[in-house]
Amino acid sequence: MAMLPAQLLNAIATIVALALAPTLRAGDAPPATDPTPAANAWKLALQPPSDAWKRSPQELVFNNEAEPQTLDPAIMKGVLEARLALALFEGLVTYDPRTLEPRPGMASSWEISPDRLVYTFTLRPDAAWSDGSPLTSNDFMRSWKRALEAKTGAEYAYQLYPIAGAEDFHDGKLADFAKVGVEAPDARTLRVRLRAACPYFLDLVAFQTLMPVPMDVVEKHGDRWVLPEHIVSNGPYILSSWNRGQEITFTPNPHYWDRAQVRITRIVARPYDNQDTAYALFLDGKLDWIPGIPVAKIDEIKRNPDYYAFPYLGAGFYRFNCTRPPFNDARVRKAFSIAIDRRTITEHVLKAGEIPATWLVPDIGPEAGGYRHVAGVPSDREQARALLAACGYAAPGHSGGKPFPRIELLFNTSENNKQVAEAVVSQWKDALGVEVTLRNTEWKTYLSDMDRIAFDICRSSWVGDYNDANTYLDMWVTDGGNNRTGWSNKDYDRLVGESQREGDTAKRLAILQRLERMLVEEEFPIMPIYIYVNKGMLKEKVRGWHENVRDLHPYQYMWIEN
Amino acid sequence: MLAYILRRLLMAPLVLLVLATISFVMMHAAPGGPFDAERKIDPETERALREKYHLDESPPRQYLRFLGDLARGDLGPSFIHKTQTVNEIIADKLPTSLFLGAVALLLALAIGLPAGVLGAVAQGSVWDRSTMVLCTLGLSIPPFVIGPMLALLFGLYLGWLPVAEYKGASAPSYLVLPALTLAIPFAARIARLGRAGLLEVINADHVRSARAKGASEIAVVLKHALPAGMLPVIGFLGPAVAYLLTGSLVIEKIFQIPGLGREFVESATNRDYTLVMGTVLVYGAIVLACNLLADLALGVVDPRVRQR
Repeated sequence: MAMLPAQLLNAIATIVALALAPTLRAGDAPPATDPTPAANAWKLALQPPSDAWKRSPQELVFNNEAEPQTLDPAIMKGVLEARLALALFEGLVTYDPRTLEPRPGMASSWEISPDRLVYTFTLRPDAAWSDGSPLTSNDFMRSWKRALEAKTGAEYAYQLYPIAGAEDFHDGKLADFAKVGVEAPDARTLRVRLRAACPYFLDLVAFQTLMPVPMDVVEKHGDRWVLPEHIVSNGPYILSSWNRGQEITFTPNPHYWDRAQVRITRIVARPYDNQDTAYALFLDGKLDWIPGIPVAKIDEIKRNPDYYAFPYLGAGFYRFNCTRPPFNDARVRKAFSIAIDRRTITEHVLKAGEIPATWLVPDIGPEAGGYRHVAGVPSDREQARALLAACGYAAPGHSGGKPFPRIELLFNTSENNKQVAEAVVSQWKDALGVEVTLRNTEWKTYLSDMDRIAFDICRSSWVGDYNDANTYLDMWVTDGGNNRTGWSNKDYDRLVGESQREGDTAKRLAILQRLERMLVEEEFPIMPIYIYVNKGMLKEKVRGWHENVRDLHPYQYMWIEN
Repeated sequence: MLAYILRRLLMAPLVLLVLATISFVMMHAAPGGPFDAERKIDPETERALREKYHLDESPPRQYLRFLGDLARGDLGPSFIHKTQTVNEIIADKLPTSLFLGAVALLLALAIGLPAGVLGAVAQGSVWDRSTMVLCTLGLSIPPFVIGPMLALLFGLYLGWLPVAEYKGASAPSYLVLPALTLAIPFAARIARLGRAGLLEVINADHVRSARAKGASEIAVVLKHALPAGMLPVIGFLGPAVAYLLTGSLVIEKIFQIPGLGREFVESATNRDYTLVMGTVLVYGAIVLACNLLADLALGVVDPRVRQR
């Protein structure tokens, strides 16, 4: 091991700084709160090219699409809550807005032991809460303990499980938190011991569940500690008002360590859950950013220069019920998967640039671990028919065979789901001559049926929790909570375990690809259809907003320039 | 009359109790629960959450707990909105819905009554026919079509009024389009009922004798025909007011108004049991009150009802 990741980052940063230095004008240097210029170099590329922004009012009004259920970073679970957490809180590390690679946050630096099992974070000396009090390593200890305690109800507690003892502590098998691999030798040092090497651990450290919460305030006010009259936070912004159904507003946190980096002086998040209305308000200039669009108007919206669409760490696929005929036979599942033409669906139904996919895992860039999907099996109607015939079913072009049983495709009620389902079902009818009935239910009924595997085929989706293929692959282990197909394969289970113990990056990626191959080339418990895109609209005046696969947009790098 | 009112008032809590019980049973019978999500919740966390909200108890026990809390005026915590109780959500959202409904009611009366009266007086005229065509349109085009059309016309194209949003009762321009959208079908109903009611009495004996005594046509209509002619309208107002105050959920969604109607629908889809029960009770109480008031108003206007 020549260089540790943190050192490597510094080295890269230095190179980037040297490359960029000539193009920067005097006076553009970012606030140098960090004593080592090289460590700050990555940020140089994120600064405004000139002072023109200073002439524009620095206010950002965006649609956050619904009322948040809470602003507590440990308890929140939705995308829209996470958008607000990025303003209010900051973990030990933060995301690079372009690549999502880990950047210093509350920790100014970190070291990783050669065996990759121990991470030692050094908190910056000016780490502080929004009330001005110092933020220490003990704050992280207490916050992580709270997130792990089952009674807290943190549904993303599993993001902490790579830490030694964390899962046992959550499940009550380990009563003493001192035995969990987190310690604070002094106020500025946090040492974390993992149960096994975890290449994406720094990405998890930036995730909201691992953001610090002010435990004294939490203990005093319970669930209401996040209300404007109580909240104490540590991110670039503080909560200045929460007017339910109308707006949540943020202003810069004067005690944020990188205060000089924060340019937008007022952020307004609106909770409008009607995409058509949000779109109208965007056209009317009342919203600067809508992170979603009314899909029925996609043709019109695509002509608007403010429209954007880029790949997202999300996949749309169908689950098969592997516990009963006809889909307890992998050949039948494969026949259904290779009978459809995915491009027709992405180009004529979805239309926003979704990627037709015969694989499950969205690509992950080299900055964040790197993963390249496997090929999957391309459409092949002839082979699909042959497979059905080989299973004893009647198929076009093949004589004999019993008629294929009537089956149902379950999806939750939505115009988009319905259109995709209709297209897929008609392709199945054309290719295989099978009749598939559509069954749509409202959301909770759908979830309940999916969980009980009370379906033949079920519309599904998955959005990655972190930048690693593992978030798409470990869920298919036997009886995994998110498996929901009844599919079970001993080799798969064993390989998932191996991938989690493998310390060598290349070998590990090879195992992960082997796993994906089992899913989409051999066993087909699922049928991949497409990789999501993020689609929305952004006014040109909003700058410093970068596209990335997780749709995360830290506000401290943004500015308004008319 | 007094006994009648008393009987209705005494019946109200019973009706609400039946309503609450049916809602409770239906809610718990519906598939899925408040903590089901696309990402399966882990068993330990789910157990802790169920315990926190007493969902670990048997349904009959939960029902008794609900009744006990209700007797103290406590509707419990929301399972979804972690920072608010159901009481707070209702206190926060109900006034907005009531205000929107009240403005819409005034609009519906202000548009519907004159249109109906003029239609009856000038029966068969161009005015009469065109208002009846408009009424049919107002009744048959659903608010989720009318609302966006009005927003497009007056908001985006003409720029006269805000497209959507709500800035409180002190910013009335934001209320015009939603209140109008909500009012249109009711204005149409009122115009039709008013016209029909008035036509029925305009040739009645007492109106004819008033006319024979030489009263002016305006006085005849306003003083003698109108009170009796408006009986169908008053009868309609009970359910109409209840609907205006509670049925604005589509309008609340189109114009993004933070009212209780949306909470009601969302609480059901979220399986937020306590919020469902709370909103059902509030709406039930409003419907009962409006119907009682309408009956009383009929009694005041129509001596025949008073005999009951």
